[in-house]
Amino acid sequence: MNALFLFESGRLVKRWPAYLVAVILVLIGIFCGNQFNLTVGEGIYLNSPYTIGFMTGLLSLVIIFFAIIFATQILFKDWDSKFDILIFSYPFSKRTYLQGKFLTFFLQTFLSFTFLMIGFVIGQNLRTGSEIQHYFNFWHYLYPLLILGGINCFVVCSFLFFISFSTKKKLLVVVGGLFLYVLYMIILVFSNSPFMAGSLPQSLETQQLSALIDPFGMSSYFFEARTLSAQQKNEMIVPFSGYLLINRIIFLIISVLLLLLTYRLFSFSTFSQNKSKKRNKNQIASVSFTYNLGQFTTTKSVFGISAGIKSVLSFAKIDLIYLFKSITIVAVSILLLFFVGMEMYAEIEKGIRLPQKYASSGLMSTTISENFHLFGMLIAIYFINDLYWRSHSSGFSLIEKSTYFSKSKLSGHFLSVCILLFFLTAILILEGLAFQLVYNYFHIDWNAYWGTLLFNTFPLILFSAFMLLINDNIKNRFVVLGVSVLAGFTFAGPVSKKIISYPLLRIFSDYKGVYSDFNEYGIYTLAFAERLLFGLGLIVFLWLINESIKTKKWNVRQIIFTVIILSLGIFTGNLFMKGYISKKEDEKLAESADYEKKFKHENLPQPTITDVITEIQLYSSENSYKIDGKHQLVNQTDKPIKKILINFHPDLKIESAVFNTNYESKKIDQEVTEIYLKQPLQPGETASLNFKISYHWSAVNGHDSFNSIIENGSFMRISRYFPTFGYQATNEIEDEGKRTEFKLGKQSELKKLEAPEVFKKDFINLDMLVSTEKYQTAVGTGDLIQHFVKNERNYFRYKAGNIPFRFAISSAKYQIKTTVYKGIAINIFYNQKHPENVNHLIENAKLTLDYCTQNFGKYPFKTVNFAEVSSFTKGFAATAYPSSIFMTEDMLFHANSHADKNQDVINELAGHELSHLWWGNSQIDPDDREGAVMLTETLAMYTEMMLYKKMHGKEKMKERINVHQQIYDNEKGLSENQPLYKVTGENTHISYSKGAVIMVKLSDLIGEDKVNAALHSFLLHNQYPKKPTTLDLIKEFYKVSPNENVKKKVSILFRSK
Amino acid sequence: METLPGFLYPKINPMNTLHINNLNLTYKNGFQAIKNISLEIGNGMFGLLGPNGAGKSSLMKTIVGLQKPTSGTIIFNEIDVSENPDYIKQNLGFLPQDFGVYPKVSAYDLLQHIAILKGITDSSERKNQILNLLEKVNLSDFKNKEVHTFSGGMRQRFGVAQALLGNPKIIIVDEPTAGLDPEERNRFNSLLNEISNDVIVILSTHLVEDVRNLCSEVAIINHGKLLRQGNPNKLIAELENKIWSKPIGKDELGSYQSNYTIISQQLIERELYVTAFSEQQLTDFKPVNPSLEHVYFNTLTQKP
Repeated sequence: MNALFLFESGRLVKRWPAYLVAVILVLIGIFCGNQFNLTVGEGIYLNSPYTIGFMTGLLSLVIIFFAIIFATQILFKDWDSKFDILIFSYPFSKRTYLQGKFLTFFLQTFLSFTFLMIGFVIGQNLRTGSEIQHYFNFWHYLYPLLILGGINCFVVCSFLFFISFSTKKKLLVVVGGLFLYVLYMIILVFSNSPFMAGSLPQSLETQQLSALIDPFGMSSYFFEARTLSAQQKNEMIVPFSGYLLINRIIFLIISVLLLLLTYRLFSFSTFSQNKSKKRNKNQIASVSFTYNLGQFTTTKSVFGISAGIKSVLSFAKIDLIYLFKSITIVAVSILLLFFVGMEMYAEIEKGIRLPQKYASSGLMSTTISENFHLFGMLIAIYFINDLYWRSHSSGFSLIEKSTYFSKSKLSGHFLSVCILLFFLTAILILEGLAFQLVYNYFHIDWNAYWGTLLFNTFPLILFSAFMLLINDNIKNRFVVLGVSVLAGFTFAGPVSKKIISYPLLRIFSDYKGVYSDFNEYGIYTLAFAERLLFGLGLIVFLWLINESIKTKKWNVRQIIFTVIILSLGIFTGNLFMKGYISKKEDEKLAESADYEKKFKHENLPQPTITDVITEIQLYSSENSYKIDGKHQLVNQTDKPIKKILINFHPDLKIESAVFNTNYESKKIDQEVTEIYLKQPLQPGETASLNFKISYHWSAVNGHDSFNSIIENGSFMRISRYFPTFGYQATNEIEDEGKRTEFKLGKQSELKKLEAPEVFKKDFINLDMLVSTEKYQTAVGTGDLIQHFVKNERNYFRYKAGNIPFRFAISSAKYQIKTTVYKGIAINIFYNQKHPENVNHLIENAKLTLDYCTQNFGKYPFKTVNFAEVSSFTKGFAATAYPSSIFMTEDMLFHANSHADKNQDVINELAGHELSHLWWGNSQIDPDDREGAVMLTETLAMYTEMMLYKKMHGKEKMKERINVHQQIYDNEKGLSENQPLYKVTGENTHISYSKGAVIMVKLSDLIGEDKVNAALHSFLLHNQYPKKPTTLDLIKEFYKVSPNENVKKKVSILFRSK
Repeated sequence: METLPGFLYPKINPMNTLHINNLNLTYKNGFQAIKNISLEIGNGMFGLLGPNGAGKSSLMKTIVGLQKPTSGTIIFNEIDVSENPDYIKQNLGFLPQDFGVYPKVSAYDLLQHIAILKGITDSSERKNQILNLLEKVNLSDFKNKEVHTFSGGMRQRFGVAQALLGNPKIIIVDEPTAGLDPEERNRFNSLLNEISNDVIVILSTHLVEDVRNLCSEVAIINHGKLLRQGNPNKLIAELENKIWSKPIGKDELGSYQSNYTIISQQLIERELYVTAFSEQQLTDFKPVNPSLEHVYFNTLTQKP
């Protein structure tokens, strides 16, 4: 065995830091395995052999960083410690020397990676959930560890080994390592990598080439895996053959050649020659010291505040000279830019499913915020450690510490880290601007970019101040580094939310929310600043304590300063916490369980709402609204009603509520109230509920996506927050484990398709007066029948007859474009910054109206409103209500439809959403049972496709169908496969994607005309109060089928899995 | 240069004093580096002599305030250093043994940094002094070179320059000539000698010759204890007619050591000479003129 290797490894095994590093690597691995959700298609499990393979490949990039660190340590150790003179005088061959070195280097790197992967395996196997397969196969982990991890390790190590021993320059080793990384990233763009979300599919030749030349073998892995189906990816490893095999062999050979070359080039003597040359270049010839008779001069010293400030600046200057002369900053900046740049690119391009986005300042800023904080934190930890301990490790601290102003050290480092963080923020913002310029969307919104500073840089600065204290109080720099990383992840990192439950204390955290062109960052900006000020107070206080302990003195001026900042911080911290509701999951669950136990089995008859008359006052700037409403009720059952269960939404405050019958009236002040009537409500008898409720949210609790009353661009699915009658099954706990814990038994099951036909008169007449602030327009549900201004407020009265109990409102400063088409007013309410697709949308709305009225029946309202709402609302691209369609600003409506020649999302948007006014808003209203979504979403998808065909031709429509087939294929492995006619709501890949495919097949089979005739007839025969089912629709399709054979085929389409 | 009112200028030729009283320093690992040392030091060059590991550096670091004493006091110009470490730092020049420097920073920039840390706020005054000191230590031509790349002698000269920045009243130099060749050492000593007599200079060294050449007062310490203190000439005079020398065979050393107070042994042309201390004439020994080296060796061999 190689003696050098034995010595090195023996030495390593004896030192405790080696174990510490191993433990840390395993912990990081566990974190990766447990938290990373990189998945290519949703039908592929996170622990499928395919995903494990590419995760291993992806993680193997870390090898570069391990190898750089170990190369600079192990390979350069002999001449760093000046041991070279001795070691090269000992009698062993250069082969022994190089072998020993390489073995140590390679094994240490590979072992580190193995520890990481061990952690990864543990982390992944700790997970549960639908994205995890429930078995463990050791080989699935070992295989990629060998062919990707092992070989990549060998490639990287031999490459860096070659650079180390042929150039003897640490700097070049670092550059070489980074070069490998960049090379890999560039090749990845040209492979068919799923990481490069949104990159155009590359030609087969490019993919083959990149499969051959990718030093990490990832491209060849993807290339070989491209033909595997989702099923295969879940079950088998990607075979070690074809391009994958060739690629791995090529790089093994290259690595061996590099090692041989190193052996040829290396010699002990050239080594020392080289060394002396190096000395000549760097070292200055000693100049003899002649006696100089001049007098020494002296100067006076001042120790006041300005001298103190100058000393802080001087510390910072020395730091900055060092920082910006060193290669590390350049490397870190390039990496950061590259990483965030890739994310920006991905955010804009968005893949085949979604259209290209505009490179707006908001998008760029939120992308920076998504990625910078964690990176910045690690950078801050590293450089603070480096800067703080530099005077110690260089031996200069003895001199520095003997000066009066050595006490400015901390402040000096703080200043330089601040400058560093500002520098990094600035280059990221510049990168964002560059993207905006390149993508031709140079509307700069500084408020958005200011957010990156507020949400990342400032908390990082606070964090740095805290890190400096840690460095100042622990005597060993490596212990400090460990503690800092730990503190970083607990107090500032992504898991800090779980660890620090009290939101005020998360002073180092970032904000990864959205930026809206309506609302900017909303009230989150102010709230964040308030918390930051509190954090500042806290940190200043800690600094004061630290200094006082160090100097054993209390500086009055500092105390006053601290008291002022801290009081300010406590004041703003109070503002921040105002209205905080600590969300205790357990309590909530217990409440739901209670509710279910109490009311589920009563199953008593309840009155039905027939009329809703309401006034809704929106106070956007105060994030609140008030509802004053009246529900008209009637007993539609054939039994008298004695007990009435009334539910108010828990988020809303009940100001007053009274339930009236002809004989009695009862006050209500509880969320859930059961009323006992002395005089039962007889069949056909009416009653009413009058109520005043209000809502307000504060930033500390966060906003509710579907109840987001914000300064501008509000959207509320407001009917969800109105009081309801009877048992609400939607409150039930879904988690099976929790249900058994609360002894709840089975959850309410979805009604079977075959259950008896239902006629139910549950439609309402809505009369809704919405008032909003002066410059805003409120868009409601139904037709606008009145508009007036009173007390500087805008009033809009919307009325709709015979609609389901489902209505919404939006309010914003809108630009409005109106066209009247065949007696129907088409209004587009949009943000003034988003005019690009307005005309296109109007054209497509006309087309849809034409198609639907011709084929399915009359449009039931006088207007069609398309209203844009802020991106604070998440969860849909667009949603249809009677006569109104609401679209979020960041999904389809404001997409760059010109950039994507293959997809016309505006056409899709108009076709799909507008057709919902036939399919599922008021013309038909299926009840909640199996297959219901087929009658709404599948039919909307069908209309969407037919309109696409009309606008862009059959070929283009088929391309869209292929995309939907792909989406369906990707996701079908995830859950139990259902036939379309029994599809349930959560399986959108069936109701939307498979549905679209099947309906297009149907139109190919029996012809578009016949399909439409069947749909027309379906609408006609299934009107309110009937609750139609998919069987009714299939019956209509049978009717238009020419013969039994076709009927059979139709049946197969809808009934097969 | 800014003009300050007269009363802010230091008084001409003031006497500086450093009183060390019953100083003890025990490290955390239990090693007692300084054992009950008391010293009175005034203006002028004070030599601190002792073998490697005697506790010289510990003593100096304690005076400078880099280490807190376990017990005892250090009073500089009437002010207690451990109570008010700022005061001595405001008046200090310190050249530690074996210091390092920041890489990538030039000599001028580094001096500038130290000058600012010493509170020299006037930029032109600061610049003048830095240039003057660089001139004095012959480093003017290298002011823009990285100190990091300097040779040992140049680095020590840089060290002196930084210690003299400002107007220190107490200058502490720890083993400044270690590692320098004889010529450079001489020149270096001349430089030290030039430093004003109006300030306290404490020079720590294990080289007797340096102390003899430079210091008017010397303290000999070993194992953390103060063994001897005084004016070198007086100390030498005390040994008049008490030092004896004799060549012996190598195997006789043991018996001589048990019979005589041997203070040193030395090879001269491969012959072993022993030097002994004795109040009386020793038979077969030749009398030797005492030197400071004899004082030193004699002090070290004395049993406590």
